[in-house]
Amino acid sequence: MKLFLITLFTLITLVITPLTFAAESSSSADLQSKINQIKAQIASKAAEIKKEVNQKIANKVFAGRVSTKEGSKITLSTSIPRVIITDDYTDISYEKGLTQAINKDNYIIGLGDMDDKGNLIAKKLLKVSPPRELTVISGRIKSSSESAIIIDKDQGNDLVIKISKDTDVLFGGKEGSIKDANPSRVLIVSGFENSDKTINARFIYIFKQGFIDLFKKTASNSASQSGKIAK
Amino acid sequence: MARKTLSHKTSYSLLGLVFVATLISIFFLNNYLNPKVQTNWMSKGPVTSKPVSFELQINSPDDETISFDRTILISGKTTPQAVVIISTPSQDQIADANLLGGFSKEISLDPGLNVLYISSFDLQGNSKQIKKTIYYSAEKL
Repeated sequence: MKLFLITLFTLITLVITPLTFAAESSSSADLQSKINQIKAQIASKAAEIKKEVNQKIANKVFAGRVSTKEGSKITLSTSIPRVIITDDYTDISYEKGLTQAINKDNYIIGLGDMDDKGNLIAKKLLKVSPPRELTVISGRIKSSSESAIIIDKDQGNDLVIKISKDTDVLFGGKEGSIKDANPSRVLIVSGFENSDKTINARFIYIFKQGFIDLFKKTASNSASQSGKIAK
Repeated sequence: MARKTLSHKTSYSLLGLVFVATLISIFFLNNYLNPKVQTNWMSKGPVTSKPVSFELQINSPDDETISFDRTILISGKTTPQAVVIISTPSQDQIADANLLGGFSKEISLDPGLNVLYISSFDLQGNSKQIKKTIYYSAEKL
């Protein structure tokens, strides 16, 4: 028995020792290969990041109303204040009918690349008329006629949507008409607001059904169904 | 020369130690060479997930960029099966969100400044809107 045990021990030692060395040499080769692999990955990632950063700072556009103008530095009154810097090479152009000067509240568009401070170094600067604000909202249809649809925008607040021959209407994703604007159905309208708060509809999407009132049993004033846009 | 004999107990202990050492070596060697095989059962999340609120994310395009191509791809994620309206200065297009909320639509830009309104609506009365400013120029600056 003792002899058997000693033989077994010797055999195990003899088998394990070369295996350990083999594993060590294999792990060393593996380590080198892993290092090379990681190096390649880092280089590839760095190139990707460089490309992304270049994309993020090159060919940018800042547009908005002028808040302040100090020499070559123009600050826009955008939600995140944007700074446009002009230089001798900036090509400045003015929309026909606008005065050839840049003053406070003028709407301008700067095109160029961003510097490390996030300012735009303008290659081109355009003074243009401000774009019209588009309104896109949804609501429940209260009534409709050939020329207008009244929707319940907020609970109790009606909104008149004016329809013209240019208004595109979709009903459940397919071509539709104002005849599809049945009361209680829901619509989405995109258009431009008039001074009397009505909307000239450019596009209308009518859902095939009404709002799904998940809280019908416990409806409260806070359970608005207006589809108010959260900006 | 005195011959030292090993007792049964010592022999068994030695053999046990060798086996344990071998097993430990194999385990660590395997983990070292095949790290992907490792799974951390503790890192597995709970079976249930948190309820999500109405969402709208735009992956493409980046805001305040110049496009030299007339057509661009609008893609993003919103609440599943919501209706997404993509409005340019001259047109509106629909993009239906799939069962996972993903949507994409190729749109045509107007020359010059394009303020894009990407709005998502569902039938529970939820909505969200994201504005993107893109300038289309046919020529390089």
